Amino acid sequence: MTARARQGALVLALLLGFAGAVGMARVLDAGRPTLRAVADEAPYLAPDTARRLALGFEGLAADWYWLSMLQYIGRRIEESRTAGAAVDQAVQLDRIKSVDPRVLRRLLDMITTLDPRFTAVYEFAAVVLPAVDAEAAITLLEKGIRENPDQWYLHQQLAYIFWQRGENLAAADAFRRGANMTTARWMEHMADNIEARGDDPQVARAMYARMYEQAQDEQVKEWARRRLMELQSLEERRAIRGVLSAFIKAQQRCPRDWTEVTAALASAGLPVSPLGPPLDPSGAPYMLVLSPLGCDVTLHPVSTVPRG
Amino acid sequence: MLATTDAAGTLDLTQAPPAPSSRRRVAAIARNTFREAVRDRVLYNLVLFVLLLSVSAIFLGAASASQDAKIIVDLGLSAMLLFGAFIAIFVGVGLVWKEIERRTLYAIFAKPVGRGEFLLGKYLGLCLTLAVNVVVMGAGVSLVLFYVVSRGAAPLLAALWLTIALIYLELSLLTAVALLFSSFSSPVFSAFGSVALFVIGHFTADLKGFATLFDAAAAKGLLLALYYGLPNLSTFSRITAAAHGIAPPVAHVLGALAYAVAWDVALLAAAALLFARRDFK
Repeated sequence: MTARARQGALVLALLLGFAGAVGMARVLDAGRPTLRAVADEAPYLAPDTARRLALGFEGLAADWYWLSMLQYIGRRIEESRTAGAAVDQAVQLDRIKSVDPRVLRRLLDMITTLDPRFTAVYEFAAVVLPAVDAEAAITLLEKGIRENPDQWYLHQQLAYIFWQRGENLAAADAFRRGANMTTARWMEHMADNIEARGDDPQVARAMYARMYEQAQDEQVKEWARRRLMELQSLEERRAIRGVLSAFIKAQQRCPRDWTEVTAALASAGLPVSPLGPPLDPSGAPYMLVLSPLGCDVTLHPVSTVPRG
Repeated sequence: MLATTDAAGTLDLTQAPPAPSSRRRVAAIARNTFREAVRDRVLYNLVLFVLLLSVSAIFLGAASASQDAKIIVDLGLSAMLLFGAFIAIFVGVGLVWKEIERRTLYAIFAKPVGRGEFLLGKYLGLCLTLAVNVVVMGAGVSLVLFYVVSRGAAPLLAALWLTIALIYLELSLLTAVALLFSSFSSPVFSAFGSVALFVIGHFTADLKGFATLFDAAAAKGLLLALYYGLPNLSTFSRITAAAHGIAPPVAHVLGALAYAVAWDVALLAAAALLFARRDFK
């Protein structure tokens, strides 16, 4: 056999061998059940064991679990959407009910045990976890505060969880503990306001505004921005309804279009388009809904303001 | 041919040329070891490293929810430690063995080169290779960080380079471990022993903790002996903190330097003692 023929035979053997291996893998795979995606499973190892086994690569392991968790949450949001509806992950962040609390808890515990200074994780958990397990969210934030005694804004995240649960005194206490660590007086003011009137929309607005300012995580920042837009839009719609009521009272009918109330809307301090309609916080025009029962205002389909 | 002249100006051609100093002999072996590593394409791992970092920098921005700088530091430094450990162990165990296998060792020892000098030269040569490796990798991570975090990268970079210094100390210690094993055993056993010591070295801190759990003095003594008898590699692990821009305190780096030097001296001395007793006939 010549050298050329031998080389050809070896290339042929390589190709045949590889093709055979791929073919056999497919045959064997067909005979066994498909494994569940690894990201949908809680980590097998106990977090402390994982930290010991990481051999100095704890940070990288924490990053791996962080990326897995983001994918897991993203997939759950994607799966839970109604057919044909657009997915707005930033808006859904604090309303995901379809995640497995056990998986999320274990993932968060794993990440924060491997890298206790990974503060973006506590921030993310404060928003996502309360929807499925508020107690676990509180426990995790308290762990974060213990591990990062210099990070005052973790107290703010803890206060947010308590405030969401309607536990205004606990929220005020968390703010006061944070206020003792920083010269920023707003935390003390937030504590006073929550204690006095925790259900006030102004308190909600201040809460989301502070979370937006302090957020390290871009997703949390975007989520807070959208919540602020939602609150602002709710206030604007309340004001628009007031203008519509005044018009109906004066004219005994609904306005035919926005131009009939443009001046009244502008004098109420609402942003108005040069064409007449009032504009929502995302810059889209509000829609005037006319029906036999009366008239109302609603968000335009192109608006990016969360719809509740 | 060298010759000497005395005070009277008489030319003496019978005197042998002076032998180079021990330092020069060690430096010559170190230089050759470095050149050989370059010839053996050891530094090709840098290409893989650059690819890994470039791809990460491009994709992590979208996938990591604004944690890309942290992940790049984690990934870059972890890869630096891992690649460096592979080089230190697998090149380190071959340093002596290759010279025996190719019979070049006999030619070296036919010259006025001591066995200890040979080992020290080999060690320093591989340390130089590793230094080039970590410096180039460190520069790569720094560049990617500049790309990802255009502003406010200074604290991250300070933490990064101090942590790189610690990683280098760990790698120098691993090289000494690999050289110790290769001074008396086969490459396979040497590689196995070095990898085992790398793994155990990251657990030794736990041995001290376990010692407190025992009441029996013998068990406690054994665990403490193991703790002090094995290098504690977690001393050099500051990657996770560096990713948050937390630099190791300078006092810690200096302490780690002294610890690494002490271990290097002990391991190289042990290697020289064992190597001196080895029969190459």
